[in-house]
Amino acid sequence: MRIAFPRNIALAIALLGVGLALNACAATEAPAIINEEEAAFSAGTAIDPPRTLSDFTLPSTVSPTLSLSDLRGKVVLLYFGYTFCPDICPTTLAELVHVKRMLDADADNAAFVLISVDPDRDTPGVLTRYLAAFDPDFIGMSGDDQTLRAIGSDYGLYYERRADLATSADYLVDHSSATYLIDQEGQLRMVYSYGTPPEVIGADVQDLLR
Amino acid sequence: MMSRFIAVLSVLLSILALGACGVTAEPTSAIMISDPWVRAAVVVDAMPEEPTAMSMSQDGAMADEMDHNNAMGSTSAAYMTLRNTGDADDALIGATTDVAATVELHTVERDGDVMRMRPIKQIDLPSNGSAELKPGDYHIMLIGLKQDLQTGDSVTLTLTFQNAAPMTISAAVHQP
Repeated sequence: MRIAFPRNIALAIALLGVGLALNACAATEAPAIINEEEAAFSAGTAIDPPRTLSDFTLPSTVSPTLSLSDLRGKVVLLYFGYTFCPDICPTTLAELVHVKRMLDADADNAAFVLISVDPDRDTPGVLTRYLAAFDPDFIGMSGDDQTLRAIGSDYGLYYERRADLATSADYLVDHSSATYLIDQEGQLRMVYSYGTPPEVIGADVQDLLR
Repeated sequence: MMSRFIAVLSVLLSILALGACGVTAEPTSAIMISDPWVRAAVVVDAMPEEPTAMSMSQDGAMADEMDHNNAMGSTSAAYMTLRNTGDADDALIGATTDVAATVELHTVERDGDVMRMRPIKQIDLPSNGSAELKPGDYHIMLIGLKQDLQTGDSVTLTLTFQNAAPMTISAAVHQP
């Protein structure tokens, strides 16, 4: 037995099919929705009054040891991360590459610093190879626990090595993902959450260099 | 007759509409993958067979002998949008590639400013639903890179699913 669909129902089904297909299409092309948290942090948090930061000295990619005070006179963008991190850290560093490009010739007056929270993996040699893929001028420092503990409160830094996860990696590191803007006098001026647009950070650096 | 014609037309139009989004799919799979890409990355850890003269290199490299303990040290990630056009739930449960020793599915849990990367068993693909793998979110983690991944390269990935047949795709390498 064959049931003949009335023509208008068949047509409706046909149109529905097309509609669904187009809808599915639109869904993949819709702009990503920015969640409220990201929106709230997208301009960064001003540290007012600016906070004087403790000096520290660590093994680095530019000299056997480097101190924060050695960078006095430059605007510093500082990030804590680790090279084994496949996602958050390289995303942030790629954004800092955009910031540096925005600065153009002024980039000579800025320093971009990655402090590793994973010194066992991230020797200065590893950091040099890793950072060269982003920008050879980026500076890497191997943070040891003692130093990171001493300066952590200045940055609200949190990090924890996790060897208890179901991964083939020996361990992963949970860590703060903010970027810190330090002025020419070594004072903390801004904190940017992960996902802050490079244009926002670049404009703040340009303001300090003006 | 007419209804059958319209039904066929509907299917054809649907296929055309889907084709318009640049979605690629294997003919038999309900899973569709769009915009696959892999983050550019370099091998940063010294290979075990590398001469130990490395450890005697000049300034800044004093701790390089430790490199030899870290043969798993270079990573990257693959991202894409996965869509399940079928009527049955499915899930991405794994992946393999020739360019990395190990591949895992990971997500990132955000706790204020703290990021916690976590391995996960699967990425759910509900029927007629989708999952977006993107920076700061779900990703396919490539562990132990065997070669540098430069912008312009492409990486072949084989994805395995709970129900659908495995799919082999080519993903372009670039920075985000």
